[in-house]
Parts: sequence; structure tokens; C-alpha cells
Amino acid sequence: MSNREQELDTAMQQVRCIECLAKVQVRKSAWEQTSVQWTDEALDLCRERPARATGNLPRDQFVGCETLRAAVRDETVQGNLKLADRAAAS
Amino acid sequence: MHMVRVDPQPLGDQSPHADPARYARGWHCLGLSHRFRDGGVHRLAAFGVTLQVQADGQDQLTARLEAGHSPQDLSCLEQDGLFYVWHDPQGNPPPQDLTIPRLRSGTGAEDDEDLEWSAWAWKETTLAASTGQVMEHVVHLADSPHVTESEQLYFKNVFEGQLATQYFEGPLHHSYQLQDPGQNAAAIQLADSVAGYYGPAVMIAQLDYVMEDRNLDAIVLTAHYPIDEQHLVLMTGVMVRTEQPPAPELKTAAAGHATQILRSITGAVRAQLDDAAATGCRAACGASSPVAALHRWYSQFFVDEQDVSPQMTERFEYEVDTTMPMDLWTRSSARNLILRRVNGKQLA
Repeated sequence: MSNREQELDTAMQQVRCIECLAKVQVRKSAWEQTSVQWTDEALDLCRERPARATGNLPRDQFVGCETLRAAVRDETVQGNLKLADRAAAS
Repeated sequence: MHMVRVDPQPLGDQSPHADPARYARGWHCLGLSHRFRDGGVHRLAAFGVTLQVQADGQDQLTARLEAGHSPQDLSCLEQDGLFYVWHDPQGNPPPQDLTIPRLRSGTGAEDDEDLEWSAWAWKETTLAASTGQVMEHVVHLADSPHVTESEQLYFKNVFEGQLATQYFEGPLHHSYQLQDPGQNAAAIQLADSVAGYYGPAVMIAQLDYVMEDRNLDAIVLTAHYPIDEQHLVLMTGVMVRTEQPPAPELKTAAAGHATQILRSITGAVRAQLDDAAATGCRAACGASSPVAALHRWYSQFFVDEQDVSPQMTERFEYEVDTTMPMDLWTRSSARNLILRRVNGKQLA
């Protein structure tokens, strides 16, 4: 992998949630694939994340923020969030 | 790659290491607890030394690492018919924010006191591999052929704090299907599973299988503990939600599935080792790949607690979702392009 490809591969773009002030780093390699890097600060701001988990089993864990998911989808459809593999190919 | 015999055979000649090996901080499962309750002292090869397990005067199981001149008593946990030990090279007690969840709703520790879930179908094997190599199967579904085929699939890895959670919804991965279904065993058509690593060595999966004629609720526990740097014990237990009265074929399905999962994981570990041997090194992967994220998360268990960094613990999500049809994506983005073009013309 060349330096240029490495750069594209690792590049994440900032996405803001439309409901709260959380900012996360997002990378999409394809329409169906999304990586999200949170910070502890963004997690604290998230309104969908319960303050306290109801249980400790795997199904009790926070799957992810649906509002943020919609925001990422919108950003992608608008063309603001580039698909990483497409960027590497073009 | 070869399978090595289970104890008490010595594991062969190993070259002396300059640095003493470091084993992960975390809860480790040693298997079914009743095995340690026969009144005797049990010695296991674990964490590069000997681990001694026995029941004390109050019938509580105790564990002690016999490391040279300073034996170390380990914190223990017995629940759901399983025995766990807390291993920490720094000697600290287990943290409050990482507990192994209770799996059985009944109060009894023994299998036969639970009316809701079957007894454990339990399998163990000894594997010539390092613990890190076993971990990787948790992200490998992301690279499975399903993702490139047109099947409906939802897959997600979440790493946060000391937990790593994997979500899967779709056709059951081929390597997990029963290879040799019994005459009463129905094929599993769809699987909905959420699996969580509670620290570096204990994974609990809640599974909902859709079969031809029924749904099957199962809990799968996959765990490992290191014997030494190159060997480990891998174990898988399956219990299924029982019907009233319990259906005998459910028990058969559970036992078959435990064997299959163990086979699948050992197969995956072997393939990884063969692959690594063939290419000489692992393929380079970017920081946003699930393998890199797994490595960052896993590394927290091998450094002193004060050296655990936010990069190791801050929440990271890797999601593959093919349930939203591609043409919907394409249509909405195409419409957007057209709108933009039209707007551009209007602006011009």
C-alpha cells in the first residue's frame, strides 16, 4: 500500500449529529460500510445513549445512535461524505 | 499447525525468553466448576506457571498461581456453573465496572436447578496458538463472503471501554452451520446474534436462530486461557432455552452446535496462522479497519492500568449493512445529483 493510499484509507471525516452537539469521525468505504470513531465527550453529549445500562448482557449494550446514523446517511447522499474506496479509485 | 494433547503432558521444548511473558489482565474462565469440587487439589498449566484450584473449608473454590517463591491468590467467581479467575500482572482486584453477567435466571449455581435454560453442552480443546490469534475471529465475519454477495446482512463491531460487542443479523455463517445434522436437527435459516467480549478472554453470545419449524434461543460462551505464550485452552459452552417439557432434540442441537463453533474457531485460527506463515506478515490495514480497531482495544489488557490510553478504549463502531437496498442509495444520490444540476442551471 502506497503512502497516498494509506492516507486515503485512514482519512476520516467529521460528521455532526443533527440532534445534539456531538461530533464524530466517520469513514465510509462503501455505501453499506460505515466506521465511526467517537470521543468520550461526544458520547456524553449523545441523547440516545442511556445514562445507565439496564443490564449487563450483550443485548443490553448501546448499539449506536440512530439519529447520527441518519445524519451520516444524509451527508453521504448529499455527497459531503466521500466514499473512501471511490476516492482511492478516482 | 497441530493440536497438542491436553494436560498432563509437558508441552515440549520451548526456548527460554529474555523477557518474561505478559498475560492479559482480565477474567478468565476455567470451565465447569463441578470438576473442581471432587475434594482434591487441581493443578493446571496456566499463565506460564501452575494454577492450583481447590475447594476451601466453606466449600468455596479458591485459585492460587504458584509463581516461584511468591504464590499469588487470585480473585474467583463461580456463577452459572462456571468457574472464573481474575488475572492481573499488577495484582489489583477486579474492577467494579467489568462484571461477567449472570446468564441463568435461577439462583442455583448448578445446571439442574435452572428450569429456563438447558445444562451446558461443553467442549474444550488445547490449541497451539497465542491468545491474540483467537480474538480475531470476532471481526472476521466482516470479511466473510456474505458481505460481497447480495445477501441481506447486518454486521457491526463496537469497541468501547473493556467491552467488544459484535452484532450479526443474517444467514448463519456457513462455518457455524451443523456439518453433520442429526435426523431431527432442522437447518438454521437465519441468525440474530449479539456477542460481547467481557475483557480479553470471555465472550458471551445471545443467539436467536430461526429454524424451519421454530425459533431457538441460545447462549454461547466462548472463552480461553493461556497455558503459555504459544498454547491455550479454548472452550465453548452452549445452552438453549428449554421448552416445557424440554424437547430432547434441543439438547442434541445445543451439543452439536457447541462442537461446531469450537471447530469453526479452531479452523479460523489455523487458517490465520497458515495465512501468516504463507505471506510472512499480516496484510497492512488502515486505522479504520476492524482488525486495527480490535488490536487497539485488545492492547489495553497488556499494559499497566495507568498506561491505558483513550485510543484503546474510546468507542469505535464498524458497521456493514446491506439491508438498505443499494438501488435506494443509488436512486436517492442520483436524484440529488439531478437536483444539484437543475439548481446549478437555475443559478447560472
